[in-house]
Amino acid sequence: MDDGGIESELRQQAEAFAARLTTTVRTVAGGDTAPFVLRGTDDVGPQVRLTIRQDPSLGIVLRVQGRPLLLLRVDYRCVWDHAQRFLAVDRSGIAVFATGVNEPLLRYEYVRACPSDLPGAHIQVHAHRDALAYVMTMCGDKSGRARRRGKELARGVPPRLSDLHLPVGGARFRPCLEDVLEMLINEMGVDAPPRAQAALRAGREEWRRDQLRAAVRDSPEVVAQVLEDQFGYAITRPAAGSPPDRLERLQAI
Amino acid sequence: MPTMEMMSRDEITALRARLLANVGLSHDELMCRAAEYSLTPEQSAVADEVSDLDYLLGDE
Repeated sequence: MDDGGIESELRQQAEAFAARLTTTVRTVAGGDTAPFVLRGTDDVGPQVRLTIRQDPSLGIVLRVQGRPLLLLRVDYRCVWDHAQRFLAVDRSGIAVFATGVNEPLLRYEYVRACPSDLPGAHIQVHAHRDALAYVMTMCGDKSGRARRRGKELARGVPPRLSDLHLPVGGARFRPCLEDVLEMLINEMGVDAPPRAQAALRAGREEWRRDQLRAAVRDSPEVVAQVLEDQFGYAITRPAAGSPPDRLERLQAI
Repeated sequence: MPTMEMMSRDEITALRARLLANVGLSHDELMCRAAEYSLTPEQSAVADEVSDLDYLLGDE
């Protein structure tokens, strides 16, 4: 595929992904919710970069019993994956705000090239708990994160619960937008039509099939063995042998 | 279906400058205040958009 073809293919994948996101939020927030906004450039650096963000820019309004209670901000930054076959999320954020409050309640984030001492996929909870803050002041200096926290404390900056990056399954098994929306429906009583649950399940299925396709490439030999041993497939390995496991993916927090 | 807006480096740079001018803050000030959650919701939305443009420019 020439460069123009590659760019066109990536654009199509991004538009399809954004369309899925739009469908998902419309399922809950209403059919008049604006579509996600896509921007891209092939004019900077060696590869095409894309951004996908919710519209309106202030956030998607979620209602409880008809009253606007929450705002949802969703953004994805995308590039080609290492094989230039699939759209890869470089970074994503799903933030939930109480309306009228600047600081989010929760953030689900993913950073593909995360420092090794931070989980690539993580949740940050913006709340207060005295006991946890105390523990965070007592965590010594054996890790880089702990030392950094100690330095902040010495500067008079107290630890916050939102400083903790709670790991949620790594690059392949991280939560999707449908998970967050269904949690908000179940836990916060966000208004959604009766068909929303089925639509969210269908969207989650699509997301997990995509993630499965990506996860398979992290350990092809394990996949081949499972298909042979448990499902009776006859698999012919490449002449050069199975591709090596992508340990950086399998082992990363 | 959403459609993508493909932008050149010059277009991204110009849009980023317009957004910063409209909000009346320098880039560093906007991002610093965004990290502290001390922006108005409208300013915060601008910070998000500027951050997206930074990404497209390879600046973050």
